[in-house]
Amino acid sequence: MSGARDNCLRRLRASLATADVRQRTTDVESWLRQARPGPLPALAAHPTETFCARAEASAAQLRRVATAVDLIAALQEILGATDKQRSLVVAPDERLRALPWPADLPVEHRHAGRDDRLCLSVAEAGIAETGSLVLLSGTQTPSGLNFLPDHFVCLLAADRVLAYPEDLWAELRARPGGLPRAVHLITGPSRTADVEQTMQLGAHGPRHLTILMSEAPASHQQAVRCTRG
Amino acid sequence: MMPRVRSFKASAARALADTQLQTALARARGGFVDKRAKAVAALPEFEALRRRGREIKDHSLAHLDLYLERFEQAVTASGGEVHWAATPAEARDIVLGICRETGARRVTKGKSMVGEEIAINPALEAAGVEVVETDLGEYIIQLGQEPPSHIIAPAVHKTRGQIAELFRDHHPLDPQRSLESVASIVDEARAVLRERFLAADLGITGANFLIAETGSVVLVTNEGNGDLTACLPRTHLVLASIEKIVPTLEDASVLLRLLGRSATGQAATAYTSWYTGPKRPDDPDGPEYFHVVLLDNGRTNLLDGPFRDMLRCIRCGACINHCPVYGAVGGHAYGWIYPGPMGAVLTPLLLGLDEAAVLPEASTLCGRCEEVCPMGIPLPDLLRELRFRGFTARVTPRRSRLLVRAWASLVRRPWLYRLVTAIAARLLHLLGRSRGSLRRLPLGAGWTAARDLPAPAGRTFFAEQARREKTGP
Repeated sequence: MSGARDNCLRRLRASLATADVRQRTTDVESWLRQARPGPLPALAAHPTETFCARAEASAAQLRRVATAVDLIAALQEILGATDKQRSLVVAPDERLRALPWPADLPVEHRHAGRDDRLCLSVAEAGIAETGSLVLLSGTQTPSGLNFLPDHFVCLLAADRVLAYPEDLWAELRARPGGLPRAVHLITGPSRTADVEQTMQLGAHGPRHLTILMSEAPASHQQAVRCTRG
Repeated sequence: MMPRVRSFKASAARALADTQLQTALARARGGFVDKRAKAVAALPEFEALRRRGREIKDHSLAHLDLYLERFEQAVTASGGEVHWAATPAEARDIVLGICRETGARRVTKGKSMVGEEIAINPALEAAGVEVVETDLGEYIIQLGQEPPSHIIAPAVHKTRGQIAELFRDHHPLDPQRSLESVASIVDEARAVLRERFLAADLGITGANFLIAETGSVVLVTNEGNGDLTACLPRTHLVLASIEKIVPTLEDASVLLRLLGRSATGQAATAYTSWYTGPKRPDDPDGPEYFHVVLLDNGRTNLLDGPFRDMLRCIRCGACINHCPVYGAVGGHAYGWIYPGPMGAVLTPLLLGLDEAAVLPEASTLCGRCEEVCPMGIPLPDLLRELRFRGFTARVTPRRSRLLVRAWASLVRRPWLYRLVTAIAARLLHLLGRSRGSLRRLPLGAGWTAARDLPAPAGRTFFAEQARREKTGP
């Protein structure tokens, strides 16, 4: 419907083009080029610490994993508590594939399917301001893993906690190929208040969200301090 | 839905007498207000964000043509397609056309007010396409065949018992199974809708923001239904109105900080997603097709004049939650899809004053809506402007116009005004002398039906002031 398109733009210009067209185009170019962040809410503490506090306030579980062995042990524990009959679906991510998976752990490296109960993926980053995980769609981290299972477990490197979404935008802009199909900011498990304004977890997405924060030397102290599990 | 705005008065009277509705409204009222107040108090930067948010929207609207073109280019570059619709009918045709082309028979839908505005569900059903709402609140009212009564909490007017009853009527349920608790109701909906998500050919979502720079669509939900709708089917179709555009990712972040807090008191909702185009060649999941339908529906005409301010609205619902009129009668009385103060402004602008002149009258102009609006929209001023236009165009009822004209001729003559008010004050004082208040007011029975009028002191303010100036207090 190019007719609708042209009419819409013509009507807009009739109302807006009181200013010089070249000036308006320059205004737009300069606004886009600057990509100026707005006022940033002050963080109460160090970003990693703030992230942990906010994530837990949003009903996410947080566990520290210092080594690959810790990580496997944490997953075994979660799998045992969730459902022994089913497998753990792991994102087809190089870093996850390289982990020392024990032979008796039912692990499948693929994207999520209809009956998967427990999925593991890797966050690109964490956002301290809101305690959110950042998940990017892609070959190694398909989006379905974040939304389909009952229990979503996500690995986050402690030194990948950014203060604000604005820090993420700066990073993503520098990536070749632009934004991935989907950028997800996930803050706690799925929830609804549509029945009598009563908060209920587990609406359509995961009922549980566990963040496994792997320590990195730079932020070792914070990662230790904020761990509850 | 077909608008039923004209019957506002009758609908409001019915709503006031509906005890179930009053129970539901009473429960919702405090919750929204308290949560917002707490979230705003916890963020010292809120006012600064509000100023910046307003600046971003004003800039976007002043350059809307250019940003829409940018957005279209960016969507196309990412492999998606943008469609332009001047009217709801054109938008419906575009959606039905995409369903036909892709052979879609089963559609899941995230919450979209533009979807309501263009009445997409009946159009899809008439074309033999099965459509299911996946936001729990929207799903509940779809089962009840009702319009939403709130823009962010569409089933806020329903009690738990009413919802359980709807599920028993529409789901094959064991009669023994309890649907007493909120958890059991949510679980039942989760199980039923999960199958729909997995079977859908096409997913329709709305958009909270469109990003001109990247061609992204920002989607905010708590349930995750929007993401399952956007990620699982072969086609993701986005319905959005043209004023949803903002220039950059940073601009959207400013508005998101205002949106969550103003709507539900959340610093961030559980899921905030940026969707840009269809799946990339190597992606294991995601939709193959990505369409964005841009709806005008009269918005371009609003840019010129006082109502441009209304296009800053980010649909948070704060004005609705703080409105004493909405709190008393709920959303259905407003007769279309946008209730409360934002609805009382937007509905006449979209449907015409002929249809909806009654809504701007349904306000006390108390000003709370403007106070809490994160985008600083002068809602009371816009309501007054619409009243004025309704009066001038003679679409307000004859009786109201007569009374307004009588009032005008009174207040324009100070001597007459003082005389009439002095007589009235004296008369009412005498009438209410014994009790100090009046149980019934001549010509004001509607007002005194629910409360007494304190009797005036007998003198007008002017008379009292004149006396004091002469003799001292």
